[in-house]
Amino acid sequence: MAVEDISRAVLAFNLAGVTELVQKEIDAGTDIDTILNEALIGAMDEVGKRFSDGELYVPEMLMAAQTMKAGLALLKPHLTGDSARAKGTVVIGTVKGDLHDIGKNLVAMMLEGAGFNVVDLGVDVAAETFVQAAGDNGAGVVALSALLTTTMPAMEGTIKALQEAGLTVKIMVGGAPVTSGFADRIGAQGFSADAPGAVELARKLMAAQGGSS
Amino acid sequence: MAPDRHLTLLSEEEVEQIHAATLQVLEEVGLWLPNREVLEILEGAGAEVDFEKHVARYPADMVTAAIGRFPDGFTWYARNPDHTIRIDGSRTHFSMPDSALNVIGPDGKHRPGVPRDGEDICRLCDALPNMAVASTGINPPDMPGGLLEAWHTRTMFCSSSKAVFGVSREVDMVLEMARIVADTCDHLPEGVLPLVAIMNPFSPLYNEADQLAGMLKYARKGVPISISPEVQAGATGPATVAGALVQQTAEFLGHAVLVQCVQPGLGVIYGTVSSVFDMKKMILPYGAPEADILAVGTVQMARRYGIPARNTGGSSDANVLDMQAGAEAMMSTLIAILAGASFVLHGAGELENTMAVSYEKILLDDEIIDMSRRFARGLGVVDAETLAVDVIKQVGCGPPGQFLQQPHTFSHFRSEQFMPRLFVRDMYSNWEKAGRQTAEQRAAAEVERILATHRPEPLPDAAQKEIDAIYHAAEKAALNK
Ligand code: B12
Repeated sequence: MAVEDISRAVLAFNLAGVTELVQKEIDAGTDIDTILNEALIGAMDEVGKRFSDGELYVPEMLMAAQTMKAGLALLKPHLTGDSARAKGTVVIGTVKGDLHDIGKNLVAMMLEGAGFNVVDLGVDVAAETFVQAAGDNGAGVVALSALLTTTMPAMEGTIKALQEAGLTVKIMVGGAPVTSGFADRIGAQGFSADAPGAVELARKLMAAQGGSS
Repeated sequence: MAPDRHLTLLSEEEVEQIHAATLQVLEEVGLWLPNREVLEILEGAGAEVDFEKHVARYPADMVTAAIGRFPDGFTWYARNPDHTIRIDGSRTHFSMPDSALNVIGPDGKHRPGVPRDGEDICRLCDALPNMAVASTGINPPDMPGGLLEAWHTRTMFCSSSKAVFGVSREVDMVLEMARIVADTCDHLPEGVLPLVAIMNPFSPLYNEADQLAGMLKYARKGVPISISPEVQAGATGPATVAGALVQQTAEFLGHAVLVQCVQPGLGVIYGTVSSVFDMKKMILPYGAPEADILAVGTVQMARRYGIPARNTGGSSDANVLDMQAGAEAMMSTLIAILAGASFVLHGAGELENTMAVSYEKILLDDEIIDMSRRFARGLGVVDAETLAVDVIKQVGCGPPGQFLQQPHTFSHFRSEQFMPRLFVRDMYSNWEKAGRQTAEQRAAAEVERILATHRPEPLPDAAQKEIDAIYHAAEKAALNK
């Protein structure tokens, strides 16, 4: 089955193969959602599983994600409004004063790999910027990263600002010094200690938002 | 240890290859430095600057000229003259973690650190023979920026009389506290502060405006600067250790050249906090052997530039005080000494991938330093006296010959042997009778003894009051925020 070939090509990090196979399926009139969900996102689920099992390492996972995205780019023009936004949008950034960005970047890359639309605001992001971007992009989830005890309070401030703006987004937080207790205390809806966990969490929070947003 | 006996991993040719690649990176890529004043200084000194993109590219001759201005060492003054140290490659001076979140206290409990811990950790440092530079070990989790820096600096100056480092933020405040302390000392040369500044460039090849501004302030006051890049090989730098060393050296030189433009001849330390990025667990492991390769490479490149080096040493990624903690601590400590690093931060007592400091481990690492120093001393002087042919002749061959009563033994054994203070050397039955104390338990008892008895030499009253006033002002400012 050709859809399985696409998955296999993603798992083999074969970018040229994926684009070729995806184009073939589009031309053959295969259902676009099937290519998206079964071939591409299905393959990334398998990648995530192999990563958790310790078979794959980060650069391999990211290479698979890049391969998947090349296929996704070909599908984009054919996606109907619904499936284009099916997974929802995550707005992510490090909070005001914090410039540690590798953890945030990894979370963003993995969320993209899992099919979310990710708006990355970068580092040292002011609360108002989060509010603006969450509103403008119709975000379902806002993800805040902080690595310093001195910037963790800015997480609380950002959450307050999002609430005051009347946005119904779910908020998840993370970064080395952040704990689930801290997340609860500042009114975040979720915490994860690592990037794979962040993807799981985003799925849960997005579902609680009612799927698409 | 004699300089020609330093541990090396790079051949002379490889050192030159790293240097040439570094110059190429500085010239073709440059550094991203979002601070107008910094860019102007660099342009004035010959850099090719793109003010819009905040990028400075360094021509090779500009870098070479600055390298020629580096002094080969400097004195790090402490308020107690006995604790003043030379940073020149002749000895490896140790400190502890400086911003962990958690402590594992004398009771073995793992918990968030509180200010009291920082004061106690600083007192331990003051009491321990192998700790040369004060540190609080922690960032108390609930302390806001501004107050945090005032607390660190006050604690280092007041809970210890050893050398103190300058944090990278709130530099005016740090300089003011250092001036107050300097005014109480007769042994400081005119205008010299008892301080060395600690700076961390960002990878790849950049820094932030505030830290750069702080660096200029320190440089203008003549405070020597330790510049330690933190490349995460494979994530914020190349995956190859050689490539990471190139990028790191470019990050260091890019900043050190700037320092020389501001204050020609100012002391600089080439430091490293780099390691490989763990591709499964996504952390920067300081216990990794690759971090040790980078440590040796850093010292060799520093020697190429005729300047002192900083390493990490004693840090472990283990979450408890176990065999892993001991193995990783021993490896980086021994290597820092063998390679000839001048300063080590991150640090005796460190656990949990820089997130925790263990009181007992500070003492155990202090003992590891003793062991490592003994090893590095090697045979010491080799002459007729130490070759000992006379005494071998005197005792002769075969029974009942023995050396225990020889004057030669009597006069040499103390200086030849490492005498453990905490590590166990006892026959099982005796050890059992004496209460089965492990090295960790012995360290815990020693922690309690030191904390109950050791009082650091106080600052003169007036100076203490002035410093407290600055601290309380920072506290007030934090409350009003
Ligand atoms: C690399 C590093 C740096 C680099 C950063 C480079 C960069 N481009 O990011 C540099 C050198 C610039 C740096 C600077 C500083 N650092 Co720093 N740094 C680190 C270090 C060693 C590793 C951080 C890292 O990249 N980890 C790897 C990533 C992948 O892990 P992570 O960020 O935790 O992310 C994972 C999870 O937390 C989670 N996650 C992350 N974000 C999010 C978000 C969400 C929503 C979710 C769900 C999950 C999630 O998923 C990620 C992947 O699994 C840590 C030590 C440590 N143990 O964490 C110190 C550390 C964070 N730094 C520290 C300090 C003190 C500083 C400085 C203040 C030092 C100084 N002298 O100025 C500056 C501050 C700069 C600033 N304003 O932000 C301290 C903080 C201590 C404290 N108590 O607050 C630490 C803990 C080291 C220490 N113990 O001393 N640092």
